[in-house]
Amino acid sequence: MYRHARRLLLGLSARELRIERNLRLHEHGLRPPLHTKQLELLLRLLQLHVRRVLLQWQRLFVRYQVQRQLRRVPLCIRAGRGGSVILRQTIGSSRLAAVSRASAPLAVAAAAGIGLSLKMSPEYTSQLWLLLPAAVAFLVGWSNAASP
Amino acid sequence: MIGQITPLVQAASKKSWVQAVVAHWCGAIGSAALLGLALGALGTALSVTRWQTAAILIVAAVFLFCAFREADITTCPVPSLRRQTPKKFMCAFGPIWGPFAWGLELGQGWTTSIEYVGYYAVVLWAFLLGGSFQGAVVLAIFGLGRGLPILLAGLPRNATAAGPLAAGYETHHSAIQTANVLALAFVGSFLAAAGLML
Repeated sequence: MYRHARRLLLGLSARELRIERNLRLHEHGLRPPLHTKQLELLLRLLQLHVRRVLLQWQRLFVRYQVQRQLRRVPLCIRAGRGGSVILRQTIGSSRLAAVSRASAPLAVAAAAGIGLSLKMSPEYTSQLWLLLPAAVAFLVGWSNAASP
Repeated sequence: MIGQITPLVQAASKKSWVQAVVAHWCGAIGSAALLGLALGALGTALSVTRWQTAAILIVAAVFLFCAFREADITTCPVPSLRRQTPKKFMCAFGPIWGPFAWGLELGQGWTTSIEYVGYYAVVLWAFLLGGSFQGAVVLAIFGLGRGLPILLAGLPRNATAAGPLAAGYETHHSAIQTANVLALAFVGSFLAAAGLML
């Protein structure tokens, strides 16, 4: 009864209470020296307590960092109703990132277009005059069919 | 719309689905061709072809702008209606004329949400450079592409009413966007170079 009340008062588990009691008795020389396992258990408890405190601090720090980053995230949401919601999300300095990501393919495509225009003889150019916009029209039509 | 036409594969019969797809395609191609014809005829009537070099350079600039917009380099807003085709067409007009009506509306392009801005470049090309015949042909091809997902969504054996997901849009969004960027940049630069050489 006394042990149970003491355990409740200190907020310790039964095992912790036993260790604490053994320690106390050991100090008074009433018990043989502590068993190695008990010492290990004590150390483990201490270690867990320290880790818990560290994790709490870490969680606070991560939450602060996430909130700070979230303030910088521009979200451009292109939403078509009926389930076709397309999220275009760029993080951080979005414009600069988009430029660096797209500049190489854009430059290659532009160079190819200019090169083709310079290389082609006039009779083929007149055919491409219709074919290229037609190809783009097909691609754009197919792409835009996602929205309805 | 895809969600209402595609289940016909299983719920009704293959024949009903084929009829719906053909009707939808006819509507989309016809409507888009009519738009191209009207735009080309308007351009010819206003004699915009007189300033050909300027017209080519303007169209090339719009193509390049659309490429930049697709690549998210610029976020300049473009006009677009935030609406979809009405659901009631299928109930109101039946399994053949309903998809046809949807095709008629979708073929116009501007009556629903425009997710990929290359549409404006194509329309401007039809107005400034196309003329009535070529404008009609190019916009008809636009209508052909616009009706393609109905066919693609119903082809697999386990076709369901998953809509754009069934047509592979959501999984391949970035690839579609890249393809649009490349195509627009390529055609824009081609037109610019050709216009400057004229």
